[in-house]
Amino acid sequence: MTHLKPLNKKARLISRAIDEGHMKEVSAMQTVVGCTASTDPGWEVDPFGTLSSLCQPMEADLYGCADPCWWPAQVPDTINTYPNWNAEAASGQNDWRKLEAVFPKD
Amino acid sequence: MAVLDSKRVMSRALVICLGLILNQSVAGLALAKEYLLTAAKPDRLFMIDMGARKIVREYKIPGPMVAPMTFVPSPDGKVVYVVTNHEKSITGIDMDSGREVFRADTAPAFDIRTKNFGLEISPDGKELYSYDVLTQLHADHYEVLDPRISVFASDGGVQAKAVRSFAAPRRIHLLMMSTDGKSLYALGKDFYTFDPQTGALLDTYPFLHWKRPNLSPPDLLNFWPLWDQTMIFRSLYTVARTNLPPTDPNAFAIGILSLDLKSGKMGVEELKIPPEVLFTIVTSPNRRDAFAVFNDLVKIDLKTGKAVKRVDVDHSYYIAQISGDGREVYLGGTMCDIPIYAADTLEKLDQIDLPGCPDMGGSPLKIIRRE
Repeated sequence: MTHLKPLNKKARLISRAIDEGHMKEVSAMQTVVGCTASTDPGWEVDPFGTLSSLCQPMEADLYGCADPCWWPAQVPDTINTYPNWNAEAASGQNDWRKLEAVFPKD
Repeated sequence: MAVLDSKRVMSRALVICLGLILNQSVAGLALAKEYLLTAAKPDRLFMIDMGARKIVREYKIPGPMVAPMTFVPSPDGKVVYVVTNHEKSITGIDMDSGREVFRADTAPAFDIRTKNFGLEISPDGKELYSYDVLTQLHADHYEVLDPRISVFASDGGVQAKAVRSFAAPRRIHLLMMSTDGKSLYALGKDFYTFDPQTGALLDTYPFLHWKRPNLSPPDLLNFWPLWDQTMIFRSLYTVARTNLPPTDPNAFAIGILSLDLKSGKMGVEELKIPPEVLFTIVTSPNRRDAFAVFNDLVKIDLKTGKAVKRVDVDHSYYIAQISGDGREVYLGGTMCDIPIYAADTLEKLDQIDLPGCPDMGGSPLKIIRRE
């Protein structure tokens, strides 16, 4: 946590909890609410800082990454909160127009 | 005359018996055949006769689900166990009738959410092993619980319950059984060896925590079980040479993590190929060659660690798999096509297109042998 700076109230609460010894070890929460299996940056650059080792085309990588909750920040979470987001779009390269943005329910 | 007659009768009987045994053996060999299994969105499983270049069976996987990714066939190829219900349940499909013959939910209580991230079956087909990641839903917060490996009897029916479970470290994503059924290996940060009966952690092979001079911790991503033909698990990893500046062309290396599921021998070794992202590697039955793929298909000489041939592929593929005779390489995962390449020349021979073009996504390609 020494390299992270809290930016909002919730983060400051967490920092305070850590300082006061109230926090347990941080673990990846892989099953609920914006699940993620990793903190990969996304589809922007490959591990070598280039583009040549990204998936070609991007649609080839869409569901292999989205459905196991790899990049929930970029696509809806089909394990928990939006389980049917791509149910009608089985082919990424052909059906991508059917994929819609999602918005919080009131 | 009576003695000669009885000898003649016994000789004839012996010939007849030998003939029956021979016919049975030949019939058995003729009927057992190799098939490729793959799954695709939203809930489909395909059995493909790669020799005939033909999809022979298609199954609907009991859901709900939108992305089949993890499945293991029974050793006799009669049942396929698939993780379903948005990774919270395991279903077993009878390959002949298509009916659901097994179902297990991994969540132990209504307020506990689980996710499966690893499935394996014992060599005798009697037990299923599921790596479960659990979170408890409290009224105002979530509590991350300890992960575990649950064990199910494969004949547990459609309301199967775990027969036992044992603790396991976090970040495991691939389970594999030794050929003698006595060791359950789990690939995570490090490579763990469990006693599948007692759950005792027998050994930890340091991988992320290796102590190798001038090498960074390795980076590995692999949840595809592709050891069907050789019972040798291999996975690629990337590593940085910390004694070189990152701008040096030799600063990064590609290596192989290996586990022989028969002998239990584990090891790591860097290859002599330029660093690139390659998702999976499969070992040829000849044990000399291996084939790796992502944006190109690379044939690797395992003895020298060098690439002997490389060809561009039509798009990214996650998976390389190989035929039992080692002559053909199959690519899969990502989109809806399974190209077939000659193993010796990497010439593209043919292609299987899944009907309706559903994405395979993260599904493995598995090989079964059955009638």
